[in-house]
Amino acid sequence: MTVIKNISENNFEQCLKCSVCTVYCPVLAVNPAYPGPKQAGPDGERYRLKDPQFYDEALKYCLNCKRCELACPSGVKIGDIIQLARIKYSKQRPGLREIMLANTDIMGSIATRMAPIVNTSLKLTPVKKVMDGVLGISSHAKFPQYAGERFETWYKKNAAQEQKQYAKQVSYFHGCYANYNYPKLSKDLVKIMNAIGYGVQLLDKEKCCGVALIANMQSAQAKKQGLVNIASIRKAKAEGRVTLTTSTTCTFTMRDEYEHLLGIDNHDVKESIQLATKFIYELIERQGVRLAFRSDYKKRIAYHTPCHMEKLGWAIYSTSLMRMIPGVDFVMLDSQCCGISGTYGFKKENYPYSQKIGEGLFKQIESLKVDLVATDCETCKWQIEMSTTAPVENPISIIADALDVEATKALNSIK
Amino acid sequence: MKFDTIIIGGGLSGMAAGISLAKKGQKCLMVSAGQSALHFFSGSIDAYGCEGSAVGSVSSLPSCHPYSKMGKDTLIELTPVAKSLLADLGLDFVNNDPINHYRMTPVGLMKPTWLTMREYVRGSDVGQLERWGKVALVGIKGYLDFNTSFISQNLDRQGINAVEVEVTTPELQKLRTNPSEMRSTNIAKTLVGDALKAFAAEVKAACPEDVDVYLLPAVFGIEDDGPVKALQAEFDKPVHLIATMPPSVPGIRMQTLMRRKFQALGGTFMLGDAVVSGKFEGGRLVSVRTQNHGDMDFEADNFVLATGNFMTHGLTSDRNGVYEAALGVDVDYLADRKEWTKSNIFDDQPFMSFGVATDDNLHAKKDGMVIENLYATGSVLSGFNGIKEGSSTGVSLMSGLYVANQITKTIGR
Ligand code: SF4
Ligand code: SF4
Repeated sequence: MTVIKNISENNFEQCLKCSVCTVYCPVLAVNPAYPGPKQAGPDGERYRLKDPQFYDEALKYCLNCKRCELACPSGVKIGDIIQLARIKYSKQRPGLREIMLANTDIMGSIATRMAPIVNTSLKLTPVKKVMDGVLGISSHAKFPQYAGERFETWYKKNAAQEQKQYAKQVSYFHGCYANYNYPKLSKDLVKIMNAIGYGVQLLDKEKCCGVALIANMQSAQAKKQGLVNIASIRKAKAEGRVTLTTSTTCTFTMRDEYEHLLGIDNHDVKESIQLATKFIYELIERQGVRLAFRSDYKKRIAYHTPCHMEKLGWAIYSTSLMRMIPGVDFVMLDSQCCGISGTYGFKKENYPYSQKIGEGLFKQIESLKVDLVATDCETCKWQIEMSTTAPVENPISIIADALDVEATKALNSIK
Repeated sequence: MKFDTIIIGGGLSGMAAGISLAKKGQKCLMVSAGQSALHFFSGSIDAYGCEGSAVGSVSSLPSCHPYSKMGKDTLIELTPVAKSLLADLGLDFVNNDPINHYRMTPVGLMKPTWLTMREYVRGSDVGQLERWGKVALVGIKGYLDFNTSFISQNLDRQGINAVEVEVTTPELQKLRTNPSEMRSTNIAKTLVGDALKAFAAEVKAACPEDVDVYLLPAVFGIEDDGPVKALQAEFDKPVHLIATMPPSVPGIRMQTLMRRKFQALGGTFMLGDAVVSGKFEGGRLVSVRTQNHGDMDFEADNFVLATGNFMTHGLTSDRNGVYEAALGVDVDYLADRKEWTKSNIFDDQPFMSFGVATDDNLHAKKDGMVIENLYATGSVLSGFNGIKEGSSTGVSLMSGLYVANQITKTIGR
């Protein structure tokens, strides 16, 4: 007997119309102009398939947080349906603001060269007024600082040579943030990997992962960059190196969105793209690698699960590693969206919603009286630092700060 | 990664087991593929939908029924455990033990049940509602999942003449910008604090002054019952709530409180991930793998399968058979495809009783062999029709607790 299966893309026909997804959409809860996951996703798709005229530009309000997908009991890829519809049907073209916000690497390389000027001017009221009035970038948003020296430059000058001495090697996709704004994160990763006997290599060519391009209607450009990244990761794999990342958003974009939204074939390298905390955790569990921590590191740390980390399902690796530090008093925050979603919260029209979405999270953080908030996403870090009094660090930086490098080397017999 | 117990499924049953075990100090992992059937919760936990004593009905059930497997004495023993688990979560359920009381459905009919949230309409008998005097039945403008005219017709049949009123506030009007999403949960998120006070004032203004009782849809308090109490405090007459069409606000509250409790007790909760395979060895389940974690083996001493039935995809089927989705354990179902359904939709549908095959201690079976450290609980179990019987929440809660007890007994052995 031939079994005829009715399987559409993104499990669209599996929708039971149960409305469970709508309960967990952070946007719908604060902005009634957004149709919500069910309406924007499977329900709207039915109409769009008949006639593209049914496309609703209000789909731009979707944060692409994928919390609807996590909640759906029927496995409908609601977020993917919405993002694909934006790519396919939206008639809006990116303006100057969208181009500026989305091209993080071009902006970053200009800004790092002029870091002191850029950092100061981004804080000046007249500059903010112009950005607000002319560009529509919220004057309330605080821009991340630019570092004076890119990670790549530092690496070539100070680290590249030394990396060769290690018997085992990994590649590293640092992403824009750890390159232009916060090279310390990249240096922290190098510190940990060296301590456990791994050399860290840059990729042949690294481009911005393109997450902001996808969100800002420039998916063709995102695809070009994606192809470059995947080719570099593939080359590293051929040479025996997995590619580590320290940002959940870049990780999720390259592993899942490249394939689902941009049609990039990455199936052969997907497992080669590894979040550093997951990779290190697995080394500990499977290869007997051990970490030694300083006894004077004492901190109360709350962990915030970024939306894309929730979707990857890997928070357990970052949290398990931090819990290994004897001096850490660990608290898990409720998993909820912080509201920034990359460039979304920087836009004037989204800023109030973005703050309202994050309200619950900010309150919980303030009530817990912690020394640090830990999170694996740079944009969550900006949003939480902008909206609470707590400093925020990537778990990799926390582990690096707490690590006793010499003792760790000794434990793993690394010279 | 190693745990004491891994619970597959994060609904009422899995949570009852997970919380009980975490309380005993077990290191637990819960994997939940999407949100649970608690999003359709009625506000009541039905043990068995009959008049009189629910536990009493156990003696007359077939031996394949989960209640028969657990046994009447065990169920009696577990009753106070169930109540204290709920109370511990800050959930205020009332009962009329040892006999059932009545709850009101979203269309205003009365059904027998075991435990009901305090704020809901209930009756010790169908006719009990008459003592109310003058009743105001309050609807919310634009909210279609609470049909006041159905309810008032059914109240009328019970001899109660309700005044129907419809209210709105500027905040609720704003919600209506999106007519398809004028739903219980969005209303619940809106009606807090000052917006809730303004709403109460509108209700008072819209109702006649001599009202004795106010009946409202259960759209208050998504995180805890604070807004319910705040609403009641605004009136000097009783305010009772009636269940709405899904999503259920009290159900989501219950789900949230249970998940938080489980995590506060040290449990690891993974949402949006699904167990895709298990490694069986010598009559035991050694480890499972999930969609998100590739070749990572999640090992445990014991496993609980609480994935629900067809609706939550714990069970799947094709033309040839019925399958358990996560681990491929044995399923009880009728071999003849034609016998799976009856043409009258209101008949007892045979497929509703399909589910995971277990021994008398709720151990699941694989290829006919009992798996001694794998238990099945809740709606994934075979041998009962939870909807027809009015027993699905009861079976879920009781079997979750029962299995937690079984596992606790094996520790130290
Ligand atoms: S991806 Fe996030 S913002 Fe978009 S519809 Fe889903 S839950 Fe809402
Ligand atoms: S949760 Fe899934 S099945 Fe339910 S309405 Fe949303 S998309 Fe459809």
